[in-house]
Amino acid sequence: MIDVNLLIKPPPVVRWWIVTRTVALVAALAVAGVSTFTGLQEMRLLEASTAEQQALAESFRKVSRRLPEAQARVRAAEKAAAELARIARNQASGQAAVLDLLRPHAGGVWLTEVLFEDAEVMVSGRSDSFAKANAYLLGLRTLQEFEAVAEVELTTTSGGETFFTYLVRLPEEVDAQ
Amino acid sequence: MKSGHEQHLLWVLLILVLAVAPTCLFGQLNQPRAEALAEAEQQAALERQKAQAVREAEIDLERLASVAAVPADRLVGEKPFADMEQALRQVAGAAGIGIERLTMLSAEAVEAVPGLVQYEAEVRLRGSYDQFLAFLRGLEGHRLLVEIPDVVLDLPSDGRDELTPSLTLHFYRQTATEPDAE
Repeated sequence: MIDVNLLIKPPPVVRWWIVTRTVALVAALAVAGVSTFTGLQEMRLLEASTAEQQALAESFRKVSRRLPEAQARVRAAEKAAAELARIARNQASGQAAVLDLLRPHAGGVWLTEVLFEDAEVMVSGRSDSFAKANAYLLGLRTLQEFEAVAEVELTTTSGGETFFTYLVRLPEEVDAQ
Repeated sequence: MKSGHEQHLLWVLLILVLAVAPTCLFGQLNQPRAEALAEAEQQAALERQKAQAVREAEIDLERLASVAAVPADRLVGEKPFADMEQALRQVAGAAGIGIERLTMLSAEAVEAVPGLVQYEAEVRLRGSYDQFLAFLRGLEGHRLLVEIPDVVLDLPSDGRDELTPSLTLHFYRQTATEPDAE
């Protein structure tokens, strides 16, 4: 294709064209070579990277298969921790202090049952008169330690004996954690 | 025979084809490979996120391990009734109150805590209100885990500061170890 003689000593009329053509051809071949080389390199790189990412994904997959089980165990542990915290709170909830506050100081009033339920205390008792039962209720309402004191039931017999049930709401405790 | 212009044009085309063809060819060949790589990267990122979530869950489990189980010294042992009786007698002795009766009512598993069994007992005491409060304070600070869900205060005898209160108590015992962390 390339006439070397023409390159060395081309006829004057065609010399510029031959030279240009030859230079362009060599340049095109060089570009094609470089493109082929980089194309092949890129192909190899893409395949290697794909294999690497697939291997990486597989190694992560081995760990991630445990995700549902791990999440279930965390949920179970949180539930257990909440239940144990509730029991521990109940133990240290100061029931003795509450009973001390609930103790009737005036004569003629007796407590019969105190039921603790979270932040509420159901207090049942007996009094020898309505007035004393009511005074006991009013006395409880003056205590700052209780958030609220409500009358649930108040029954007086014909002899004046009065049976009462009061609901005492304790303040929400501040979480120490 | 082609004219000079046609020959020039053919040469130009040939050179252009030579220069551009490999780029186009490899562009086409590498396109699906690039797409496969992008997909593999996406998949790897997704699995990495899940693996990270597993690690975070495992860290959470380690953090929760101390609060999701009761230390052994806060539980009654192989003889729950004997352990309870001993603990209650010590507390009652310190408070100066007498134990009239101790009854084991039931034992049932605590659903939220694997292997933990709740024993319900009833204790009947005899003493003054102050002694009773001291007894309660002793239980509140006791090393054993004790829950007092219910207190019944029997009426005092006339003219005497004496109560016969009954308490429902919960004690706890671990009957099985928790499943492995792995």
